[in-house]
Amino acid sequence: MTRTRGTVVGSLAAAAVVVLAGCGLDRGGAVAAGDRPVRLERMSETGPPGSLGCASDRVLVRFRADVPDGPARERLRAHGFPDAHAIPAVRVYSARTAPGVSVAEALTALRGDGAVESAGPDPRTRIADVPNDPYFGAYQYNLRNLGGYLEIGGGLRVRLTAGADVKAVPAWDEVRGDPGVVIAVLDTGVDRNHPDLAYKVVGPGRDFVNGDDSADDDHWHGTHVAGIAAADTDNGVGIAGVARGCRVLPVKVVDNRGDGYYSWMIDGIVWATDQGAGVINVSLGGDVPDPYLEDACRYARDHGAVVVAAAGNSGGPVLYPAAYDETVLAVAASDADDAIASFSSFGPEVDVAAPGVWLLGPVPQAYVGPGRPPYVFASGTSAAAPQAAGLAALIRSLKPDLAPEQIMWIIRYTADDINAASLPGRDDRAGYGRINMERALVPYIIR
Amino acid sequence: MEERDRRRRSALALAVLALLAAGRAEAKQFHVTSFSAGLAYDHFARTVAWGGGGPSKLRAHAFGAQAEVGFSGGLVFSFAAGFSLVNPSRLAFGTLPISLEFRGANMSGLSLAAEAAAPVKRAGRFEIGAAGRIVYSSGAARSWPLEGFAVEGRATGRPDWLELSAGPRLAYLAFGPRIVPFAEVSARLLWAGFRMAETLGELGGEETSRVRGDFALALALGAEVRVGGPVKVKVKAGLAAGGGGADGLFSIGALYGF
Repeated sequence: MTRTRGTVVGSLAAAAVVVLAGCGLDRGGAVAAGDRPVRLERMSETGPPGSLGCASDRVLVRFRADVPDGPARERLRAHGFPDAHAIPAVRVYSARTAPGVSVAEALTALRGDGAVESAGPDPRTRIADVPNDPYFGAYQYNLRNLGGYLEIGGGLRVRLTAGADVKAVPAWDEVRGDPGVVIAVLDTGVDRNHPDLAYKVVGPGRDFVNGDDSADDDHWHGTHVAGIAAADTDNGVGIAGVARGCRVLPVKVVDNRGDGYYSWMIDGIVWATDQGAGVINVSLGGDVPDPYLEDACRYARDHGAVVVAAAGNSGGPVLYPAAYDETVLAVAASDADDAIASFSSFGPEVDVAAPGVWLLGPVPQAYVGPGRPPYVFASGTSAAAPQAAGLAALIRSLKPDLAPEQIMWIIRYTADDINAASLPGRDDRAGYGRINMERALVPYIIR
Repeated sequence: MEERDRRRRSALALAVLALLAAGRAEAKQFHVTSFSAGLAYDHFARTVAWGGGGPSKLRAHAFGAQAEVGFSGGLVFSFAAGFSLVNPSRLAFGTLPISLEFRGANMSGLSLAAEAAAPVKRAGRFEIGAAGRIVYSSGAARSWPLEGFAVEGRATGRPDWLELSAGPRLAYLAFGPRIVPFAEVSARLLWAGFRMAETLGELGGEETSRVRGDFALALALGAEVRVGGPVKVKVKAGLAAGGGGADGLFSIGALYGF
């Protein structure tokens, strides 16, 4: 296969990059690294992947109204609950099961007791919190936008519109991502030593540029993209990732200048698919169509991988592979006001948008130099795409049986039509709109 | 699992007893002695776990016409057909492309019921009998729009349930034929299914949540009262205790004898 088929255009790179030095990231309401919220117990395995589930050793019991406290406690003791805690206002006892006794066994015994009105497992809860990653609150408006200003540094200040975000926090209450779902990041490589990615990267990956098995990042772009998609979250370090529980497979298909060939991309897509990646993020592209590249995207889809790609930053036609409508989800960039970024490429192939202006993400330490936080703000559809890829990974975590096309339709149909006032319905700038993780993942209520 | 098997065996034993009693009465003589018809209403609530999930209340109502045929030896068969309403609450459909949570709504349908009751032994003022009953409700589909998405969508739900119950009945005959109070213990097994279909643009799916043989033991008190001439009223109320707790049941019927 030739390696000279169409040079990958450099527009994959962000439209703007600001190194985080001197940004005062420890100020401005960011949670201090040591200020961890109370963690509850380890999740049980009774719920769906990523859900909180129920306690493995606790039950809740309500006795009939005519059963006084004394006899109720006696019955609980008889059932092997010596230290039940009463909550009289709601007539409920909270009890721990005896060692070696499962909740199911305990409930069977309790429910067979005529004095017991009802008994059930003790569902786990978790503070309705946000991750303790210190940059989450003040800088990741794309995940949760409360309004105010984004202080980028160097005198740069961006006004934020509350609600112009992907609604990550309520979606995380539903699912945080299955570690078995892997997002392949086809890019400049990934810094596997970065503190926000070290535990998230599956392995050394594959370098199709240098023809070896170590997809290290000799640029910054791939690490930034990988972090936005699935940075280690709630680890007290750096940023939060969209698919916070999923993992990353690095695949290097562009060189240290951000350039590459379609052949590297084709190799990367096929290789990532064969490695079992559930989602493939391609924050890069070229401006000419190519049947072999299209075949590679079809191969990925037919083998169960969702391919997500950046629309491009030229403000012109959508790049390839994003432009392959049937097999690739094309992502445009919106800003902190839910407007489509001026640089975002457009066309009928655009499926959805995601915030892509001044996105904070991790970069290799070498890129920013010693002593500086290894994070930069960057803009581009490259930063927008991994949010859609992260959402695809979360959908796959929750519903592993869905086909890639179904996942792509879910992402499209659940988007917020952010430019409905001027272009109602699907349009060529924002596609179906800015992705909405909450609508895609949280159950719709029927009454 | 053992507990569940034990309960199933108990239910089976009660059902066999009821059938044996009916068979014994049938074996003696077999000719129609009475025929009556009227209206009947049935209600029960049941705390169940749909698809093994958390507890959920299922409330069912059936209202319809009833016919009762009495045979010599005291064997009575009755049949009922009519409308049903069922209100299951808190069902989750998590494998559909867009997850749905059904928080409860009345779902109408058609119900069919058949019951057999027979005396087994009379001891002084008491009569021990047995009764068995099967009720099936086939729910009509109900749709809800799925709003807030980029395309129009609908969710369509359809519930069905079947309940088998059988057990002994103790009647007190001291008041004569005008008023016959009774107490009834029955083993009740419930099967239910709620099928939810979803369509949203190119997306579609179907998921069924089920209750498989949920067991409850019920105690009910009731009376058959002849209110004048050929009109008879049967009323029954009780409690059913099952895996999810205790729930109520109630039935009333008015029959005109021909």
